[in-house]
Amino acid sequence: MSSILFIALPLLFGFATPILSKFGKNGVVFSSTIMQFFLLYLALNFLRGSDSFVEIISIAPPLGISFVLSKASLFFVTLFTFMMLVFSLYYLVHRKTDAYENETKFFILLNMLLASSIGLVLSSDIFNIYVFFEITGISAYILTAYKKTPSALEAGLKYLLTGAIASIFLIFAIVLIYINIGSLNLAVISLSFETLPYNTKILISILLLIGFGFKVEIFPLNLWVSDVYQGSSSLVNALFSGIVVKAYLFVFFHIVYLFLPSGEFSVFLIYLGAISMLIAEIAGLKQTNLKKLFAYSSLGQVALIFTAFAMQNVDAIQGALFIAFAHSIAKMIIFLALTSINKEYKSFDIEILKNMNSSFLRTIMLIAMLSLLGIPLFAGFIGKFLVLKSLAIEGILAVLFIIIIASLLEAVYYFKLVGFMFEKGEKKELLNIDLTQKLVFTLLAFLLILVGIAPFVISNFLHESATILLDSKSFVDMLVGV
Amino acid sequence: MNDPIPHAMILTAIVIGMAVLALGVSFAIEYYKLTGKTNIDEMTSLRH
Repeated sequence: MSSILFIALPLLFGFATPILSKFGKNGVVFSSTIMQFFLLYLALNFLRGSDSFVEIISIAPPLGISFVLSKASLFFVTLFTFMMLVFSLYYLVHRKTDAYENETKFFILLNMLLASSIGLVLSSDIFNIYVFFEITGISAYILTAYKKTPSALEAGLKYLLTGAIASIFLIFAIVLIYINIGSLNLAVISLSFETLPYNTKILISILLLIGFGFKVEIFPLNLWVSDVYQGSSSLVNALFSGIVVKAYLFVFFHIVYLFLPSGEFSVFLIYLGAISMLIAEIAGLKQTNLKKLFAYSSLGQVALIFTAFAMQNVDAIQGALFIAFAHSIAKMIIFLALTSINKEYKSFDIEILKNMNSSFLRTIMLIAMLSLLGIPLFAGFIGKFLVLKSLAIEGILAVLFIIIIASLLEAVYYFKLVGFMFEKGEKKELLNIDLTQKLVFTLLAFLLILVGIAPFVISNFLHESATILLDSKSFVDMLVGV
Repeated sequence: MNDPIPHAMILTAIVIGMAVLALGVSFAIEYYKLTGKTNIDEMTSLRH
């Protein structure tokens, strides 16, 4: 039953925060960080096992809820706990000079966000997915508006409205599924989804696509993203592109693989992803605000992951997992670096990179950007290469072409940024970065380079994850217990 | 005998809907306190 700890512990710490804060000012922060260390240790412990399905928890089957920790969900659980831990370690130093007001509430939200993103990945019950979908959403809305400036509140409202619309579509889909099939368990639904009448199937698929489409930031449902990134603080942005989007992407494709194993729907999703990527990169070209620019870059990368997942092919999914890994880490580096820059120079304008005086941050950001671009020897390359290779093998050349064009557009604005960073010009006063933060940045950059140079460190595991994610039959067998 | 699942489902959905609505209203109130505006067309702090 220990995989339930991944959800229960952060929730417990979230609710216990008011009590923990009685033990001095640092009680909450330190206890949360220690809890995240423990979760990471637990996840790494699970990684050493050899079973594809690590743990299955069914409470009062077939009506009760169930959680499945497979190799695929374990990858995301490990990624999320690691990202949250890195974030907390960075924040431990950041708070000394620029703490959030009312940190107790802030940590309740962070713990809720972690618990519900992990819950999204683990649960195998569509109504549970809805509940975690909403909890993740609500914590994200509050984190967006946390600073209570007009722009933060406006972004929060915008995010809340789009999220509320998305949840209406999702709940309609769930109701239709329950009326027609009589179960909420993903495995049971998967068994009889094929036998539904064609119109019902199409209606449910479209409702699910729109409901999740808002959250996985796919065109044309992603117009809120850049505003939310601009309005919220750059610390929180790191969580949005490092954790939240990845959780929604995983759960969406988990459902797609179970309900619609193949067919024209997946071809549609491939084209949708490719077009989203192209549009995001075109929109990114003319941005002058760093947060907006990286928001569009996130949209592009997420759309690439979306395309790769939609191909329903082990190599492509392995590529998608590689990109998800590299993108989470690189965006974590970039948004945390932006936080440091903004703290010192009070600006998010693109010109600030010219005056930034810190060769450490320049190097670290360069590594992250090169990995995002997919330059060889960095982690992003392996993923992009696998995706492009399987697109070429499958013969979907139009999509291959679109993705290459989009990547070139991305390269245009990233190299513009790199040019700004290394331009000789008047530099402002030195940007000091604390040793702990330097260690955090170095660890993240090291992981990007390590996976880039030696992909075999994780490629076997990712291959296994991709296989198990695509293998809906064994998922159903495990859960229904044929 | 009634099936309990739809009841549980709809109740949960209502509770979540209420929570989101309350949160949204509280954002709107905070926004009004800061800027004195309630018209959506006049919310322009993100457009620059």
